[in-house]
Amino acid sequence: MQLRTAIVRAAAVSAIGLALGLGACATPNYDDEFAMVNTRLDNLTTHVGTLDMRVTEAIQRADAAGQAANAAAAEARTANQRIDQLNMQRLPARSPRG
Amino acid sequence: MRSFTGLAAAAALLLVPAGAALAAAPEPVTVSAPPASDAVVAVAAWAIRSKDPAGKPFAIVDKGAARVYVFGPDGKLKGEAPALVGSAPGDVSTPYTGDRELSSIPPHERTTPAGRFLAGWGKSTKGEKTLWVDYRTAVSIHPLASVTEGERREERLASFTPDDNRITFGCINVDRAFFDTIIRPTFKKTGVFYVLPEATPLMQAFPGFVAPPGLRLAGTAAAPPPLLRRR
Repeated sequence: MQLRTAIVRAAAVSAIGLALGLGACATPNYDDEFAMVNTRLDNLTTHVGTLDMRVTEAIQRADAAGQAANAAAAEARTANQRIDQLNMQRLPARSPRG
Repeated sequence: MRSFTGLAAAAALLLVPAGAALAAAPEPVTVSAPPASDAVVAVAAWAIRSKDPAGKPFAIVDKGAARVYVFGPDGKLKGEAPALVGSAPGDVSTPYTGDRELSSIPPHERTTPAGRFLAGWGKSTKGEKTLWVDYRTAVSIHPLASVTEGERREERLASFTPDDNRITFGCINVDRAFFDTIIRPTFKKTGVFYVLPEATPLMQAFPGFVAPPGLRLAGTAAAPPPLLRRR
């Protein structure tokens, strides 16, 4: 009986040890996943910042080159903005093209 | 003692599969968005500098890269995402395409037209609030929606390549989360959409467009190559 109890105890201790060991293994995996999500967010933020930066640099180059912010384009812009007066809410419903 | 062993066995049974599942989890893949094309940078810079959107938010749709870039009224990038666009290459819509049934639009007419559009909210025939990019040709931007079976739109949107993103009848489809968190709050009333052309020069697609120097754009004059000298 004592032998049986000892075997059961040993089995239980082994099971707990195994469980704790696996738990310890699992912790770095969660850390890795958090790190991965953070890396993704960092990449996205960097990327958004990069595009904004490229646009700003292009604007600065255009300014430096003395490009008129478009005397020639002013007329076209006015025409564009005249079209912008359109009020969609008043247009009849229609089916989108999918 | 019995209950202890039972508890330990139960703990082991619960934790071992969890550990095995963690061990079998696929390797995480870090995906970063591809860099925006020079055409996107040029059009954004021109729009901001010339104040073409007149204080409205604006978006640039790059059909070649199958991506949408959304900017606030201040010209700051709000977000970007992959998109599905018209299955046919081309920059114009056949007249009266917007008045026709989808089934009557042949494959070669399923284009997403290029150009500058005032987008605004309206209604679809189903009564849904719809953000029309080009009301005249019935092109709208909306969350992913399959029209016919077997289109695999979710799969196409999720894939890394833009080549398979050409599937729609002309509308621009984006992920619902992107639509709800970026597009809907940015375009509260109206906004300007610049859909980049595929074959037409940018100056033709966008009246008044002037390319900022230092960018490589198709259809615009490039800087002459440096002279090579032989000794």
